[in-house]
Amino acid sequence: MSDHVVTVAMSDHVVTVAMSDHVVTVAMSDHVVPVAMSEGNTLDPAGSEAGTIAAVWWILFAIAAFVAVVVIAAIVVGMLGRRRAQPLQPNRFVGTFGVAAPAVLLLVAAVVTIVSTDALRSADDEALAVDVIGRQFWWEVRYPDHGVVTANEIHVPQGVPIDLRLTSDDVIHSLWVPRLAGKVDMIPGQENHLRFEATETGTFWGACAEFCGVQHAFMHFHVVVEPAADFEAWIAARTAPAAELESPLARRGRDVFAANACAGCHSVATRSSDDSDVNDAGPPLGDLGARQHLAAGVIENTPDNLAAWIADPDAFKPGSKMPAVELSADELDAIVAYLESLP
Amino acid sequence: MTDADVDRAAAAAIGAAAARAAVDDHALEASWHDRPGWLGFFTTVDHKRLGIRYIVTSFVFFFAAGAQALLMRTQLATAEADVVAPEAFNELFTMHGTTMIFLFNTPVLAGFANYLLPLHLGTRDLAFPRLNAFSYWVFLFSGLFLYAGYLIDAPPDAGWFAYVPLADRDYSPGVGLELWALAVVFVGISTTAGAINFIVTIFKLRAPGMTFNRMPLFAWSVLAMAVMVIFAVPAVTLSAALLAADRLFDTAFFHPGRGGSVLLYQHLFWFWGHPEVYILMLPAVGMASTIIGVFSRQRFVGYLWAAAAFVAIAFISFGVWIHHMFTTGVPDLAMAVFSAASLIIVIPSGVLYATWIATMINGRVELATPMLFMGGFLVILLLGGVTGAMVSVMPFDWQAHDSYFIVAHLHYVLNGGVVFPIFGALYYWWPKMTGRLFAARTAKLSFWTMFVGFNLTFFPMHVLGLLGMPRRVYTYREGLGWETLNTLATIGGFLFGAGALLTVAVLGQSRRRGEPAPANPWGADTLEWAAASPPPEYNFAAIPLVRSRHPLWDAAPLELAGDGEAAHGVDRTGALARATPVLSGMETEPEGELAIPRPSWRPVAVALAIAMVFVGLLIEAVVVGAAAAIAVLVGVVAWAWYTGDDLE
Repeated sequence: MSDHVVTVAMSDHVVTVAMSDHVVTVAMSDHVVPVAMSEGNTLDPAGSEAGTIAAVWWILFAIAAFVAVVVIAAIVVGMLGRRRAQPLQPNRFVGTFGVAAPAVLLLVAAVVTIVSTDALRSADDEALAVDVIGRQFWWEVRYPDHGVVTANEIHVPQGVPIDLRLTSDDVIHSLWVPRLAGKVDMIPGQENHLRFEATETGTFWGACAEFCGVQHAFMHFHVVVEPAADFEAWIAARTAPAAELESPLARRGRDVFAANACAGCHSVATRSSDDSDVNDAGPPLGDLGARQHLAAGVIENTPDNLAAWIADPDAFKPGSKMPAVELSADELDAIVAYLESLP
Repeated sequence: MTDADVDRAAAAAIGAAAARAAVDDHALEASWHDRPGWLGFFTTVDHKRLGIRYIVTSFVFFFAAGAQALLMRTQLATAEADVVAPEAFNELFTMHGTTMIFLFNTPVLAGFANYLLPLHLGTRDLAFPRLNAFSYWVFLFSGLFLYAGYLIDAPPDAGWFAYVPLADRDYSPGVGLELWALAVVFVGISTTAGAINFIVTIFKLRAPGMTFNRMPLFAWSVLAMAVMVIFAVPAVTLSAALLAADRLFDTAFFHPGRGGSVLLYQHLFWFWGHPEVYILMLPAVGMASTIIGVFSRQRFVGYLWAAAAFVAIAFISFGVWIHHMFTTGVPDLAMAVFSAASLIIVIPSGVLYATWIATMINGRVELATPMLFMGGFLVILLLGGVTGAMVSVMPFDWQAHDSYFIVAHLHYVLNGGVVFPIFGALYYWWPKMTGRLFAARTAKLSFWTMFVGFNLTFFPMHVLGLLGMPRRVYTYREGLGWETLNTLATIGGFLFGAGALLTVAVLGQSRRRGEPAPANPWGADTLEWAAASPPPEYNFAAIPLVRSRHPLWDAAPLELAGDGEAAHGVDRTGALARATPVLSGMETEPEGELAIPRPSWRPVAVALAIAMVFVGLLIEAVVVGAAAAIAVLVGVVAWAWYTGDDLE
């Protein structure tokens, strides 16, 4: 099937275009059954862990369906049947169907557990380390080997072991990208690891899975899986010295940004060495222009959306910590131009 | 000892043969009657009155929590809806979960145990009737305490589990979490006192001749549950009390920055939280076993297997709590142990299913209303059980955890495994409790509406979870493919609610205009059906001598024990003196008698004083708290000092 898929590179991320009849058929049936289209479908894996777990699910589902059908049939027979001339022998019946049969099935489940657990999340010195820090209600992302800092969008190379090192700066969050891997909690005072490999390129939706406060529902993010070369380019764009701003509007935006509340919470760093603790209450915005989404993975990144978000964050995410800042229309245009020009 | 030996020993201990003492029913009633009106309401120690009151109060909370659920379902019916604000939504799911667990499921089963145990076991009341009244008042006051959050516009909003640090003052500054933490500690007093009462009653107050081998399965399930309560509830009391201390007194048990541990809270909470699932399920499953046997017209097949399964579940359930924490970074080996323990629960559960199915197959099932609910229970709990086995497989849990798959699973277990049996039990014991029959056709319609509504609500949630929908979200984006299934779930939720309300209508109609019920309308086998419907205050004028597991089905009708020197309160003279026989531990001969206390205002007074201690803590008023604490001490001493009638 992969022969029929053409991948087309677009700017710094990758869009997969399906060409084969087979995929078109799927798309049509998706229309009839909209559930198959979900960006969060755990059974449409694009990563090593999600792939293993999907296989585990189908094994468990087969056993569960078998058990459910047999037992419900027995219940129906029991409820509707006549009194038996030859009553069941209690010890033999309970011993067989109450003890032995469940024991065999749970032995299967135990083997599945051990084999699958053993295959997943094991430490690998070669893995690419990425630090992800949960915050109410966004994700700080750091690449310690490259000195890069960003937010709400985790770029990783395809086919390389990844080690997400997870912690939290406030309450407990949980990082979940259903198509790539299961979830791992982000706990203050503790470092947890999610180790996996992305097998497909693309942009994968993720969300916080542990209730973390008023905007838990919209604490989203994306993982962008790209070929190694594109990933290197992405890193390089963030480690290069910042280019001078060309447009006068963007330069004005930079001044407005610095003069208003924005700079109190947001840095514009892409290199962790430039990122101070002073303004880390909000996500670093150093590469905002290159991100696909705004407001922690919730709205598409377009200049109009960015302007609307800055003007009234509560309209999108009531209770988020981002205040509405009083800005004139000109100032708003300038800030949008500035931020969209980063990096 | 053979069965015949048991019977002879018990009969000998009771004394001379049956000559009816000349005590008429009027004299008995005068000895047992509560005062009329409010005075009687506040001072009663009658387990039947209190049991029914427990059940009614719990159902008020059930419908409150149901209304909260339907508000949430309305908000989630469509993507990005605006029916309730995010803060309000978080309050709704916090209150829904807290109410259902602490103020409905636990106390409604305590209510059934309260009402049924003495009748089931053939005695005149629970072992500690005043403690029982106290348990009820503590339950009621703690519920009102929690719901006071709505009056002061500060209901808790950190989830029913109140994980730290979110539940700390830094992140939840309002008074809502104090209400939550203190209410959890408060209601724990009621649960624990109830459990002690049930254990002592089961060990000491069974009718003469009722060996453990002849004890109804419901009593076995209550015994297993009560022992679990004793060991599990202190853990949640501790976690909630330490949370309250962190909030009120600025301690640092759970503050990661100050040497505390965030995960410690979760360990304590789930050390109670998982056994709690079985604490809720066991009595419900015990009632289901009773009802299935009666309507199968069949002696329960595999009685000892079932009793052993209850006990096994009680033990194993203390070794599974970490399966709530598979995503918290607990080391793999530790997780594997808990994963295995979680799977092993399948075996006692399998045993129970085998006994129920064998009982039905060996019998001839009569599809009366209570039995229909048992059918729903068997099917729904089965599905909850298989998904439970699935999520004990760690890697699958990593995907399913905190997704709608778990919402589906837990409701299949708790709604299917507990609520359906409770509705069935309500219909089954309704004629006994009220002395009225009900309209069976409408009751069956109520069942089918609830059954269809339930599955329509919760089955799609499995799929939603697999499609990546996290729990506890007040809304969701369009285009994630979740809309249709959520709309279905909402429709199902309203259907379920309508079905439940139909039951209220059926029972309300029965209460006002139902046909009078005979003593044993279902042709059942246990002792409560020997008493009139409703039973007199003293339950049995003379305590029956029990000679089999199914006393009312056996050819020889139960013999009423006689009077005499060594009668130990079994006969009518004993009833007149408000005495009931006490057994010697495992033996089944009476060795003494217990005086049933007379009505008292002391339990309600002490419960009120305890409530004031919590109010003092809540408003951080030392004077109120200290004065109330002294009042509690004085009240307890006064309570222990005097067992006579306060009202004379």
